[in-house]
Amino acid sequence: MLALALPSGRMLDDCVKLFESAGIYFPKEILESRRLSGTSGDLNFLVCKPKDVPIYVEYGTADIGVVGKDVLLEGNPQVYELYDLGIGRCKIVVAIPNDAKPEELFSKDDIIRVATKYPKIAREFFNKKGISIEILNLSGSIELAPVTGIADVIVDIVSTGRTLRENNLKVWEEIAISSARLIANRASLHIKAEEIKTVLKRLKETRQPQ
Amino acid sequence: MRYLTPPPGFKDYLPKEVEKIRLVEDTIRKVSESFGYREVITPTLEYADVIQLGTNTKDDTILYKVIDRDGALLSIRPEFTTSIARLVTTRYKGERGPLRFYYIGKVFRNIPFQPLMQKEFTQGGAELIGESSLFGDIEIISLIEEIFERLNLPIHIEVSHAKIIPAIIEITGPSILEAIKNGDFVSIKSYINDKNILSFVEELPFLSGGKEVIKEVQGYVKYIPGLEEPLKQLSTFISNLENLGYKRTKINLGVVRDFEYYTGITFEGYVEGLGLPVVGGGRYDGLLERFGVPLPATGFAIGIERVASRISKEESEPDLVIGYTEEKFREAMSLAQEKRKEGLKIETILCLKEEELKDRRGRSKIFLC
Repeated sequence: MLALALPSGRMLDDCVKLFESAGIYFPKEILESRRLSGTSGDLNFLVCKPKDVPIYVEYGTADIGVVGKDVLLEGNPQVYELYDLGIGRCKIVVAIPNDAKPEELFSKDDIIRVATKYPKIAREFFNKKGISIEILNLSGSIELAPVTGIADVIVDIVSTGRTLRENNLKVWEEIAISSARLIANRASLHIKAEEIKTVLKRLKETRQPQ
Repeated sequence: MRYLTPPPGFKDYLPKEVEKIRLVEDTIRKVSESFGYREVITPTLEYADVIQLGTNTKDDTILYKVIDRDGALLSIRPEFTTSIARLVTTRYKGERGPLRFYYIGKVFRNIPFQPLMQKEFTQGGAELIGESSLFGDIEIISLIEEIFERLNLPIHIEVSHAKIIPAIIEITGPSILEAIKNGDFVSIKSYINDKNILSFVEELPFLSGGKEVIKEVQGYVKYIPGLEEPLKQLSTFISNLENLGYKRTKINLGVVRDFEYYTGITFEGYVEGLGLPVVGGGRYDGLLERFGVPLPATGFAIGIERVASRISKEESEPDLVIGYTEEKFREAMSLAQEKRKEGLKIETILCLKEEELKDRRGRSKIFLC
């Protein structure tokens, strides 16, 4: 029996579709009720906050999991990253106000304040650029920060770019491209190699390589 | 005073847990001695330079450092292997070995706090110094299997070779190292152009099993010539273990050990129900040379608290609890003395009524009044 941790929210629907086309069916109680765990076939499904998926996998409570690359970059958990599932594609970007000129914005004497849910990614990016920043760690609706003046720029994920546009922001630079990854616990990959291989193989056969 | 609880990453161990920890330690001690290893104790603090030279890590933030009276920078040991290498090169100068040492003690790592990852923990391990042949590596694995056999805890040992990753890097360049260390088998793709090498690297985490694994990957030697020697060694190694009846060890080419000093056979061991390795080690032929004595060596370290958390052992209790009233003090004490001489565990309790003994732990109880 394998335990599989999945991210709640938007990505869960994509996971259901992807896994179903690979012949792996979610348990009814997860699809039809608010239950967060359930068993189907040889798999025990656990649904948790996207950020928490690597935690369940790192401690071996889940043997494998599905999580965005953005979460892995931010948390750097000790897990094996096995496969790019191709769903949940988005970009991690630095966005600035529409009317801002980057050369002025980043050359001013004041320290730039960056609002983000990804403090580690943001800090590493600006460190590499040699730009001094101050992180404002928010938990959501990051686009609001430059509008209100609480921060100068943001680091966040974008998929369509609509939220940015509607809040008068534009992409300044792309930091990384993110998509959902299949991750595995280090011990499980050794002890339950065959079972994990089977799941991986089914998913690989489903997805056309890009 | 900030808090009354220990700082994050440190903890108190209560008798029930300590008994398990001691059982693991005793088992390591007994089995190591049965293989001819002798215990050494090295200091908790070493010169920071020594630790740095041994572990050769760019990231020294995991070291706890203190300043000595003379201004020297000292470091609390993050592991034992470096200390033992230093000890051998100073105290056993001119010896060619083989030397067999084991150790049990606390190590300290200033890592970001996470549950299960203690900053202070106990390591028990053995080092075989001066034996360059594969028989040395086989001895180390046998020793580990015997320890876990005696603890009645099924261990899964995964063996790889430290020269495999360098062999790949020789072809691809060092850009893939970071990804391999992080276990990121997705972004590796973007660094490798050659299809044959890519398919080998992608398969790495799944290349596990017995001798047959070596046959499976033999075809890659023509693309990655550096694989030939490590694969040959692994093949001999695993056949010998199988012949000796050690069945808990498999080849797994995906094992990458953190420590930089490994040069040959490396391994990690896992137990069911714990997502982290409980034992790790390998051959480190270059380490002693850094201290001026070119001796080959191999060894392992067991994370004792991690192992202890997975074994079942009944909590011990006194053989006899003697309750006594004030008047019966002498009588109670001499009874206790007599029984202790027989080797029994006796707890004595001053009380007024027999009922007070009701909830005490003890195999049997008497009340003197």
